[in-house]
Amino acid sequence: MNKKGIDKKEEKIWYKLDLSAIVYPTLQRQDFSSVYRLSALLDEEVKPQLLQEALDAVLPRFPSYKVAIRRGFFWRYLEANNRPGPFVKEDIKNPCMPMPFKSNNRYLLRVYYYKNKVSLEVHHSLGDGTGGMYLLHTMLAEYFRLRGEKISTGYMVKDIHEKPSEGETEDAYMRYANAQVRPPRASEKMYRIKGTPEPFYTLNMIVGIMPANQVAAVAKGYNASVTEYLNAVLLYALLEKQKQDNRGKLRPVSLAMPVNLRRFFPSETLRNFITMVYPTIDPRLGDYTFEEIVVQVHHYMRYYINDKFLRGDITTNAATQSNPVIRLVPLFIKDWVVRQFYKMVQDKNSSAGLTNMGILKVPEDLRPHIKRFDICMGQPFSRRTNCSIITYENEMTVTFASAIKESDVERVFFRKLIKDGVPVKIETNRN
Amino acid sequence: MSYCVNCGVELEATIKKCPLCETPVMNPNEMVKEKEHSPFPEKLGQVEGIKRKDIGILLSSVFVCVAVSCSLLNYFVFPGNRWSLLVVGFCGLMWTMTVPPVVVPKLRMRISTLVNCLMVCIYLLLIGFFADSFEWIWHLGLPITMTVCILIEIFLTVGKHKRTFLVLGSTFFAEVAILCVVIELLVQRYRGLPLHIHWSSIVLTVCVILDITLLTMLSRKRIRNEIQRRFHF
Repeated sequence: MNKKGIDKKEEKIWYKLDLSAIVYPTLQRQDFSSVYRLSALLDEEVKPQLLQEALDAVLPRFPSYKVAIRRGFFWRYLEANNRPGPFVKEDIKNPCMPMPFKSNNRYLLRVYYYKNKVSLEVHHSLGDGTGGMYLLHTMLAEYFRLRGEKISTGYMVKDIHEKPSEGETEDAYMRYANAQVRPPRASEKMYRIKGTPEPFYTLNMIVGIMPANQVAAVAKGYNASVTEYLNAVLLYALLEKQKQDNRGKLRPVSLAMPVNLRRFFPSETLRNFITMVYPTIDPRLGDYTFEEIVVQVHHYMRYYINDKFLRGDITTNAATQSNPVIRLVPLFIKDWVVRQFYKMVQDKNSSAGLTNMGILKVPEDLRPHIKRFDICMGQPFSRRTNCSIITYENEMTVTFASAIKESDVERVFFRKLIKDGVPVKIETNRN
Repeated sequence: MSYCVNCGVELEATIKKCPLCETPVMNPNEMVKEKEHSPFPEKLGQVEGIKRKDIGILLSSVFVCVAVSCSLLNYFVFPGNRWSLLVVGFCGLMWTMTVPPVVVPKLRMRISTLVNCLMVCIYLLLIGFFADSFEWIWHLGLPITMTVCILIEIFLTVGKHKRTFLVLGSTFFAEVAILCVVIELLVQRYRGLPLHIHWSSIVLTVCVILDITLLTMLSRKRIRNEIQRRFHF
């Protein structure tokens, strides 16, 4: 132990950023951070004191989340953070605000409460939505335990007295980046939504709540899964928006959709383990009917989302990081190059983002205390809209987040669902 | 519960207009419930300011330390002329140039440049006082400092209004040419020589060529597009 009472061993804990996490700090701007938000609606008003206690009890169980980000000469890294905090705060109207690395006692997560809602905001360099969801579920379970309930572990609720396994903090990408070929990345300029930018820090959210069984029934009617169907609806909305824009030159419309790699490659990791796929419709080939869009998306998904293609994708991404020449380049040069590449190529690769966390399950004794889960992908890097979907019990929530005034895409999206017979209830933070 | 007549979606009880199509909610049977709580808070968040004081404190302490120790050395160990004044002045100058931009990240460049220029002038006067010779300061030091300051101010003003590579480039080359000519003329006046431009004429010629090229590119859209096409990456 040193003078400050900190275990010397603990001081040395640090993690290399995983393959995805390397990019997020590079894109950090004064008005942008890669932050996502996970929320849960509880059965009664949140008690902030208990929530703080729960957070304090749970965070040490997630060592890769109790960290600060630091700059090395060649790469950034995560270092155990023993500063006080993070402290729960009353929620704000504009979620997913930028998260400067040196603010908030260097913690890269924020916990908010408002009425009966608990929200967790996490910087993407710590982990993906699945990892964050483990933290949220475990924190909620502990919160209810402190309220006197008996909550068991299981599903996404971790035992806080158990030692975190090594697998939970591993960079799982490197374990599976072993395909013998590296498929090239597609890099075509896609359609970009033109909109009026909102003032600094504004993030407009439109949340659509709908019965999951009805969405599933409609999707089945199109011979597609729920994700495929909702992808198709969003592509349809973007195509309609492009038609409305009436700009003469058409561009392909594409979605950036993260795929949870844990489904294909066994891993316990709570850090990032996702890769992107880009379902695309090219209107230059002709007018697509909605049914044709669904078929296109359905086949795209079946063709690309399997362990073989995904392994190839991971290998392509990992190749850059493991290149000895690139590794020797100082961080500030890497930052500049990655930022330019992202701005010029990666960001233009898609017209919008869409993520589906799937159906969430919680332990039986936690079920009556949670009414709903929400997920928000956070502020988009450029002017566009991000769509995130999550299902709990029979309630599916679709959250659109954008920093532009217009809501044309959202309007066509929800109207299409209504037209297909899905009842939608809308909530929003817009005035 | 209210539904949007255009979109068909159900609207949460506190919504006053449909967020999808802006249609106002008009339900005569169920007026908007003011007491109902919106699912989103009203309070706007602000990004927490980063504490940049530490680096400011560190720099300040270094400058103060150097100034004080040199003054003490001058007073007790190496008495004679007041050489420590130069060190103290230099520390003051460095403090003005480094600490305010670090501590106040939103400090305006134009104000900062003016203050720095003022400090350089004061430091030059200090050197003059120490050397007991003000002639070169009045004829060279101060005019050159003022010219540099004015040129930087012009560059920043142009950059604020038109931040394109071509405009900034042409302003930069024009200013380099002006500065060189001014320096040469001031030196000649100081040395009592007739006012003629010699070496600065070469810089002036190069800058004029570059400026004309850039201004042509700026005024001809076709050439600009051609260059953009050929040099894109």
